[in-house]
Amino acid sequence: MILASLVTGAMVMLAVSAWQLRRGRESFKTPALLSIVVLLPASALALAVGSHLGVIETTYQPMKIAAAEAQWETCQPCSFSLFQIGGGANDEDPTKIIEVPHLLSLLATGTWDGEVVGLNELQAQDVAEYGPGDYVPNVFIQYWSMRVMAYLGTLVFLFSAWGAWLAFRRKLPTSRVFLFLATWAVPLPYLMNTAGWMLTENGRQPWIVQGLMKTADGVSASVSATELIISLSAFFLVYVVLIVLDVVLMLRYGRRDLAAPDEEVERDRAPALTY
Amino acid sequence: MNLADLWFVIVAVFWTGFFVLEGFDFGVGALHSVVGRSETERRVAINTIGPFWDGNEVWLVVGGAAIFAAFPAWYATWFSAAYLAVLLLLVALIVRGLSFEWRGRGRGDQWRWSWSLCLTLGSVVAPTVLGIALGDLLAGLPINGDGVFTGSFWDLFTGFGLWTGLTVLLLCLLHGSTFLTLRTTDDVRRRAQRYGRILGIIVLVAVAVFAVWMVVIAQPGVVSYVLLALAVLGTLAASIGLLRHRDGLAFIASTIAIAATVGSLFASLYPDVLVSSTSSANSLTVAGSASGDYALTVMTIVAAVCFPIVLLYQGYTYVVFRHRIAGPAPQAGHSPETGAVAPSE
Repeated sequence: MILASLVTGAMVMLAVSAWQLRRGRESFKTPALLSIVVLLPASALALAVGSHLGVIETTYQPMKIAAAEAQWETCQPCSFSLFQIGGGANDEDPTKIIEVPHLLSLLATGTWDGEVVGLNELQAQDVAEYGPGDYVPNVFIQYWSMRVMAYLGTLVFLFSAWGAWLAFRRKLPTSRVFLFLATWAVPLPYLMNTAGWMLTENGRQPWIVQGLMKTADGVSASVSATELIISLSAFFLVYVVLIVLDVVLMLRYGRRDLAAPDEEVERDRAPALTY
Repeated sequence: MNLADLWFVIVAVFWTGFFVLEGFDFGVGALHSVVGRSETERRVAINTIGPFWDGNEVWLVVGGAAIFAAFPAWYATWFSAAYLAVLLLLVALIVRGLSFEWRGRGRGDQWRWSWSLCLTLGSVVAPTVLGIALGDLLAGLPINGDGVFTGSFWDLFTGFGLWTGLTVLLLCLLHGSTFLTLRTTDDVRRRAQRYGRILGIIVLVAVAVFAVWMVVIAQPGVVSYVLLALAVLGTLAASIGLLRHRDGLAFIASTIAIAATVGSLFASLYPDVLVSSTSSANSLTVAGSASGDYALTVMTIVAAVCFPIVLLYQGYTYVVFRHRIAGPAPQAGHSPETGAVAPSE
């Protein structure tokens, strides 16, 4: 979470600096450099921690990992598919488009030839342990949120490596292509974080506390469906309005030039009304 | 005293602390358009609570979280029963919180006017909803033998609950006036004093009725009687302080009044935490709704370590921003627009 916040913050800062640098405002060189300095290690660590968490999840929530790969049958060694068609709704075999051999074993177990237990076998294990029921999360959401998160995470890392290389060559403020892409790359960390959140929450279903309490058992007895619809609609409405206003304000403030130094001195004299 | 009782006291302290702190910033938020006639004066009023309101609001989060962790059964029944009320509270707190951050960041009178409205409404709705919810604990809600709320949204509006909501709102307004009197100068201070004096009389009536009503429905013990007496005396002393231009005394008095009022609710509630109007046998109690000993022990240790640290840094912010706030000097040439760019925290 901390790393994801750092990545998001650095990407936003980089985007604003890039927009300003494209308009020749030299004072944004330092912030651009600073965001690269934060972004490179943060995105690299995020990938490392993410893959380590994958290994931990295989032990504690194996369903989550098997579903993220739509792996219905147990495999050893396991390959990782870049794209696939089908295989989401039931246990039909998916058409895997491009497979990278051994990669799933590596991601899920940390070893070259590790075994990943398939969804069918896990389902049978859970039925034996917790009684009859469907213990497989939505595989389609799981598979694609995993892909979106991992691909965007890698993309952000490669992008920051490119930025770091440009900075090392002292070409960061003048590389038009990089600055243009940096401005428009701002949605990436948001999509990446959302996909990661969906991966972890969806992958735990039907449990709200793994192995202890099902989501269906956590529903309040006195809260009606109508009340839930009212609250969800209200929050949806509030947040849509807030997103629009927030984007407008952030664009307006992001496009401002820095205040001239003498204005700063003036402000210090009388206590400013900040709010 | 066992751990469950200790945590009931801690919960009461958190909620009382919340109303003492957030009480004045609710009051300032609700009154800012009235005590400030010009744009600068309104900003002066908002800036008296600018650095504090979000820290104060954390007390509500902690108060709710303490109930969740220490009394899960109480939390489940109370918050589920008040589902739509909690929604209303959250929306009020969201638009109120945003108005601090965004009011000075947009362009035009319409923008500022809209956020001033949000600040006023949020600051009125939030304490009222919370007051009603607290009053309901004592007045009783329809709860069956499984601890499940069986009523509808409209059952939340009990007579005593509504009166508690009104009393708490009025106390927040009085508390806000004494705070503004203490923190501002010139016209804003004079207006806050004037409104505070008028409010003092109304609050006195409200608190007196609240005290009698509580005695009638709850057969409270000695602690409650002492607290109710303090609430009435505190309100009286706040009015006298405002009349005699003793700003500090008035603020301390309104602090005692609001703290004693909220405290008396919890004192009268014990040993119940949520009264059932269906049958007294269904009422949730401190002992019956508490977590296990292990959880409570861990929480006690965590609270003993963290609470003093939080108190220290929150106290420090009040020391840093202790000076009275006046508008910018006329010759400085600040327009509200340019003054808004300064970073907030």
